[in-house]
Amino acid sequence: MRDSLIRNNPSAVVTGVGLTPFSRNAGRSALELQGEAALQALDDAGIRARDVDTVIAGYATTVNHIMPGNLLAEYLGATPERAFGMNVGGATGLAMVAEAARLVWSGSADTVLVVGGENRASGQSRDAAIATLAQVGHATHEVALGANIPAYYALLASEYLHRYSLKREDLAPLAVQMREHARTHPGAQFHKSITVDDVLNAPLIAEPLGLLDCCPISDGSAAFVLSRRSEGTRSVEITGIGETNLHQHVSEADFSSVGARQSAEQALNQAGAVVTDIDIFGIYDSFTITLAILLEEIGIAQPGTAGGMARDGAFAATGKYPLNLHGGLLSYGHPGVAGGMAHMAELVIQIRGEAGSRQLVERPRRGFLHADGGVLSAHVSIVLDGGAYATPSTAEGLK
Amino acid sequence: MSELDDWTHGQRRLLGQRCDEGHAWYLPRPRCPRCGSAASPFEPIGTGTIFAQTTIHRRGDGGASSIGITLVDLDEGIRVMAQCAPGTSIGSRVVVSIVQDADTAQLFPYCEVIPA
Ligand SMILES: [Zn+2]
Repeated sequence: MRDSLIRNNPSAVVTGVGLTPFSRNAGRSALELQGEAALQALDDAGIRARDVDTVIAGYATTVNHIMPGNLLAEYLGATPERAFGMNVGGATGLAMVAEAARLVWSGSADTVLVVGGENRASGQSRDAAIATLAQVGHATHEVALGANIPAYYALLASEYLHRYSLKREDLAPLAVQMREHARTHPGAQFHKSITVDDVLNAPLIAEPLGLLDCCPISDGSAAFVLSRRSEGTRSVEITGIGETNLHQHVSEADFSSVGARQSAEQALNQAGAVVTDIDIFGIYDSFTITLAILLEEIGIAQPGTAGGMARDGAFAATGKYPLNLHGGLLSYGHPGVAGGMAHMAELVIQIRGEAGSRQLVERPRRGFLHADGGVLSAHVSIVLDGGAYATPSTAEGLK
Repeated sequence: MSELDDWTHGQRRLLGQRCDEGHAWYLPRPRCPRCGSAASPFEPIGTGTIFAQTTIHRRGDGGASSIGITLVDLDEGIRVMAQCAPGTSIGSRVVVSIVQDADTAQLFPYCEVIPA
């Protein structure tokens, strides 16, 4: 809401999108992956790397570089006024976009390149990746007990199922729906259909979560160009952002209010919208329980009903709340920072009407995005608006 | 002494913190996270109720193993992560104490169900 004071003058518009396929082994380094998505986004925006005045890069666990923005800028041939990295766990992608929007709104930046990507799956051992990620837990009071990320989310899931007298099969439809979406996306890590029984019969990782309740670890990258201009039918404006940080560790979390509601309300208020005005959703789904809790706190689902709504088709392309049509983290994949950016890439592509066989029959105008980092610790919400489409395309003039 | 066994300062005791305003919390801090007043340590009795629980399953070269992890709401009003027997039910009354891992010498909280 504080941002509303400076929003719209100038506007912040997504003018370029880049997204690589996500996979178990992309055969490329983190920097190569970042470069690939960045160049896609720059080409999509019709600009060159040296046209960018700001580069923001997300952390990469396989690189751990102290200057990720500068490293990428030099690699691309960019000479920005400012370059910096960001670390907000899974919320990093949307947090970078939020910072980019603020820089544009404030007049400090004209053209911002935002990039996340790494070879998280192939660039290190599975145990090393799990150990690195476990560090969002408290080093001495949580990690030392043998806890890890699936365990932190499993604690949330155990309490959620207990509170609403639900069972594992009440979360499973969320994983089934994400896989159904991924099936037709050539870039997704998983394409084979799954059933609720498959989810229930998968090996248990941290009860009540099984393997198919958990997103994979992937290689991949995503990038956006944000610009200070708003013409053209391919332009998608950022009209609202919200952020909330109430805790870091699951031991300190208020399970009945983790911060998603405040973050979402802030973004929707700034955009002058309510949930029912939104045509398409991209919600962070690191685990089935993550998606359930976020959908319910944001107000898309009533408490305890997210899985049931998925079972009833509410999150299908034909449902009331088309959600994560690329397959989400659960099935498109999760290379860290780029994971939460893939949701945004899908929304921008859908709002532009460029999603091909996945394109919603009725082209969506408004999109809502939400990501969390840590253990539902850091929350970022973003509202996108494609405008009324009445404006003739001036795409050529923008180049 | 490694960082990992430092927090108990080598003593088998559970530690919480509280302030003069009556707020209590678990993860160590220099000031009260709610009101900002001075923090002082205290030793909880250890009795509490299981708030959340998971059993982690590991399958490695050494075969399969499982450990229970729980969040326990202690009677003094602080929430503590502890190990527990796999499958311990939410709502169980437990007592948390500090135990030592035989292999690593690591001290950590472990909770046992209080027989009804
Ligand atoms: Zn206090």
